[in-house]
Amino acid sequence: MERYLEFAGVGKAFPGVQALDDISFRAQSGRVLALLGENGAGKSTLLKIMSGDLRADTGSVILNGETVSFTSPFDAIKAGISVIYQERQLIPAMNVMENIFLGDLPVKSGLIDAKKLKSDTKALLEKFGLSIDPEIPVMFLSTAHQQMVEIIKAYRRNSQVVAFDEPTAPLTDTEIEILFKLIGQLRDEGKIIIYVSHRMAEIFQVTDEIVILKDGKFVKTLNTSETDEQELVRSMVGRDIGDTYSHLSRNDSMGDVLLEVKNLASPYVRDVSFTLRRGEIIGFAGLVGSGRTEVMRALFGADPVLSGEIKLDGRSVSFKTPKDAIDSGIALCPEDRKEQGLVLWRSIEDNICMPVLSKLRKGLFLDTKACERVALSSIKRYDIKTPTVDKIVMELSGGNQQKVILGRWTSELMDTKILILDEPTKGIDVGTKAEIYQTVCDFAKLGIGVIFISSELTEVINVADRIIVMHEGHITGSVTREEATEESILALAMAQ
Amino acid sequence: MNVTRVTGINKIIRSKAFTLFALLIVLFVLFAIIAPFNNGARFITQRTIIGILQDIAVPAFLTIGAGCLMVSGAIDLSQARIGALSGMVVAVAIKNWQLPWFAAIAAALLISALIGLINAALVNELNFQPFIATMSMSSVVYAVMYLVATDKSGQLQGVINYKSPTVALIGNYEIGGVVPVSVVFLVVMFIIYGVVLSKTKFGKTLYLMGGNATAARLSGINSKKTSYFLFINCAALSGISGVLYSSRTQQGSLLALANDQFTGLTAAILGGISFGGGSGGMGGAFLGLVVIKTFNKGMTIVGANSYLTSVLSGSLLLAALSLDYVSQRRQRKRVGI
Amino acid sequence: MQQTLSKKILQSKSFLLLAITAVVLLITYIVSPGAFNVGNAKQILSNISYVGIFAVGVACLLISGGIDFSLSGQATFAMIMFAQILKSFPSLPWGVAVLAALVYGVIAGSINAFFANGLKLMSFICTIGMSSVWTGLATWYTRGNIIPIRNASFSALSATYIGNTPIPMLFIFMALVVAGYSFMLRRTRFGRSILMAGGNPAAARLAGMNTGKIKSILFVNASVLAVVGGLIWASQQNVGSPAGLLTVMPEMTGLTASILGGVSFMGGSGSLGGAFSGVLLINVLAYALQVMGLPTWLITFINGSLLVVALTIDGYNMRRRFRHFGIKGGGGGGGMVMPGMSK
Repeated sequence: MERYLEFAGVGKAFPGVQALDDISFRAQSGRVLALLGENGAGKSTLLKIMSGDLRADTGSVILNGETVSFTSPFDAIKAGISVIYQERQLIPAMNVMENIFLGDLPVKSGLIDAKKLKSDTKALLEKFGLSIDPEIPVMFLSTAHQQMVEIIKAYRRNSQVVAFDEPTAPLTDTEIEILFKLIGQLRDEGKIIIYVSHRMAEIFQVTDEIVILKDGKFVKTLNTSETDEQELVRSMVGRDIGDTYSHLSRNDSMGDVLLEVKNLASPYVRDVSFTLRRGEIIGFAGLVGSGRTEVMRALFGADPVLSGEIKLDGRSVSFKTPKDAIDSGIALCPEDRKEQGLVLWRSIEDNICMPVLSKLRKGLFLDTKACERVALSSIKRYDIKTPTVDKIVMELSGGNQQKVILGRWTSELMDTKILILDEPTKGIDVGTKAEIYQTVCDFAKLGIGVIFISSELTEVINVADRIIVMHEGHITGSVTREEATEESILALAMAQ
Repeated sequence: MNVTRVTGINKIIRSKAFTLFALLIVLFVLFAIIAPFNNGARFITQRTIIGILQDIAVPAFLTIGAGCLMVSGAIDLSQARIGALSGMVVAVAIKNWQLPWFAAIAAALLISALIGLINAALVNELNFQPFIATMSMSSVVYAVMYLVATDKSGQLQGVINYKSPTVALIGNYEIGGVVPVSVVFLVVMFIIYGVVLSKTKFGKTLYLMGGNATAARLSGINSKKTSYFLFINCAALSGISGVLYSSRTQQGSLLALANDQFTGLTAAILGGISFGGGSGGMGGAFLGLVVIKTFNKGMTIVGANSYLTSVLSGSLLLAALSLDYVSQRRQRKRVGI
Repeated sequence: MQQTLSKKILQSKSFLLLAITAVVLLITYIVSPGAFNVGNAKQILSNISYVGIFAVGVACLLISGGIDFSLSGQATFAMIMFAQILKSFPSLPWGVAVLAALVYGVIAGSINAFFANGLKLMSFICTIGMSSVWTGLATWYTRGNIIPIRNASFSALSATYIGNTPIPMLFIFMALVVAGYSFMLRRTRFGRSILMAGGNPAAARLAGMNTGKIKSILFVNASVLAVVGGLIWASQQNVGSPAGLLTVMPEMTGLTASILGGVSFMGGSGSLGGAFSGVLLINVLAYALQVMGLPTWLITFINGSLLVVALTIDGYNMRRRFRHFGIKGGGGGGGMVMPGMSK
């Protein structure tokens, strides 16, 4: 019997976005299939449908000729589909053996068969050539080893399909080699493997065929051996995206130095130095976990600064709390909008007026008219789609939510000199993305210094004037827009 | 596009206060009908109304303190014990330490506030969850009460009686012989706190903290300072409840306020201050309190046993929580998550 | 990283707590040697007999990420019910009344489970509410009076000692319960799934575990054990009392003991051996403070502060652990997954 996993006309809509639209392709056993696409192309939505986290609106998932329909992730696992996410599905305080046999511990006459558990685990670890102590709690393992434990867990469950979501992001080169060997072993055993990654080099190294998605649509399937990077990028990006960037109306008159960071160190980053001029857009690139966010948190007074100097307008400053930073004209749009940026169950007005409440007082009381005025002007400026100022932010689409945060930091009462945008286009549809790029350039024109963090290389290369690249908590290089290429940035990001 | 606010009759009808008001009327009608069956008792009398208002006075300050804390997403389970300690301090200060009445009350409130400070420190410095921090403090406060209530011979006095006509006036004086001064005081306090919550920057800050503490901090709100203030405020208000209780009974008791230990909490939740923070207001909490005490009064008049108070207060708390759950779920459904 | 057995024992929380207990005993001996008599030993061991049973239920629930503050209330209600049955039907064998009390325990536990898992309310707050309901019902029924138990064979349970030693038979019973549950926790699938449900609920669900069901079982289990503990107390005192247990609050002792013994307040780790050592330490300490003649308030104060101390240590440990696991956050009695706080 032929073994395969097929997506047939799969579609999924979220409020305001068609995340997946009529996706059809087939993954064969004994082959590694790469799922490639930009952020927001629909890869993770597809993975979530596969793993039972989400249900498709239309179409079906077919495993070995049978249509499968999952109501929970557990259903998917029972059916033989395992997804290895970046968030670990392990029990920290339990040891390696128990985690590998999670939910399926060997039992002899009602009791856990400790001997068998140990010997089976050892056999599995040996099979994959790993030297991990089976009795050590997984919380004491390195990230890479934790990931290995998860892969072996999936293998032990006899999963027919193993999907990897950006598995190499937290790994070092040698660890990546071990991972690829593991994936090769799984493939040779006839597993169906789906591999999601942004990294071109890896895709050529480890996969057999490539499915390209773009804006929730299936673009094409390519044989890895018959294609090259240029073709992939062309298919992924399409022509219109390039146009988006060339149509940007940029700021071409930079001012004097606004911010100077010297040898900054926090518990998470070390020896970070850079300068930012008025009207300049600096991009911060790097892999997930490279410390970009942490630099900004230290700069913003949200993480403690251990050593180093921050000069704003030539004066040395030190921020104990975010409030101090905001009072000096620094604004941060955090990476995780919903968790750190917005008060979801409060109104647009409240969310916009948050940092300027003390300027909105009339005597002892809040000046509600002024609050409304401030909120309205931001709503108009960013064209936030809402019928009322007291609509709760929860009810807005992702793009509009991001605009609320932008509206907060650039409202008429804010005197923002430096705007830090951490992944501002994450999870946002392409149309709104273009609007946000233009907005960023407009900030620069107003003389605001912008720090733009993004994991999307094309985006950061095309929007920023200068790109600073980080790797494991420190800066590995800085390139101007003119000289930047995806390859050069990636090389710096991986510290090669 | 016309961007406006929701106003008018719709907003009023949809509000929690409206529901509570309706509930209150239902309770009144119900008890008015049932009461006569219990030896021809009557429910709607001036005495009942004043009685309900007097019953409200002590837990009112618990409600205000609990309400403010809960809007910001925290909770204080040591309220009743703080109140009891405060009452005990008043009694001991007047009887044993021979302090003048104002000094006794000041000492009581100061000690209460100090315990609030410790609660706040546990939560903010050691990252305790508010419920467990205040719960542990509750037993520590009990120990302090033992210390205060132990006389020179080393004998523990569970109840300490004292006589102070001035202190007694605070809880019992009735303006014009009708309206208790404590009721006037509590109404004024409710209005002040209500206005602070809904109309000032500080009030807005509480809602934003309760809605998302991280986002609030990253938007320049000093949540730590606010949290300290709220815990101290809540403890001091609990202290006022204790003073009031002590003034009425002319005693300090280890078990004072025990019947009201969840009243503040329940009233706040019932009034729409959602468990977990970020919504509701003082008006709702006040109505919630009135509903609770009307219900209790009604139950007594229709002949329910006074030993049942604790059962009623527990059941009401659970009912309020369940209602809060239902309304939160409805809200989530509306947004589609 | 292989550890030898002796090293493991030396590093364990239980060993540390037992060592501290020994030190406390030593100091007590030096200060007041007269306190070392059979009567005191009997008293301490009798106390531990019922508190230990409470602690088992509390610890298991805590490991799974739940918490129950209504256990004393349930035990109180159960023992009133038990005493009343014996009083109304003197000819009935007491075993039947025990059975009735246990059935009540199952019901009371199920109610808590319904609020915590069915309605997804925070378990700490709804169990506090339930506590008020049960104690209220007990007080209402008895009008605050005790119900004497006049049943020789039931009272004999707690008055029987092993040979000439001061060890009560019920202490052995308690020890067996602790050992049995400890074995279950370490060696059976269900036992391991308790740790999983508390350690990473999402992962446990992905592994096919019904975490809600596990927690529900443990709520019922804690209630049943609390009822057993309450009945032991009743047998020792020969009364059903509406207030007696509420002044001791054995579930708070159980909570403090568990956390002292290494059960994390955030769930997912800990052992019953540790929890039991905690119970031992707390009881010995309380007694030591008493015989050393410290004032009551100070004893109450120290006992009350123990929980704060235990939580502070736990918070410190968890913060370290989570930093290592690559997750930010975590904290004293706080952080990510919280008993009674997970929605």
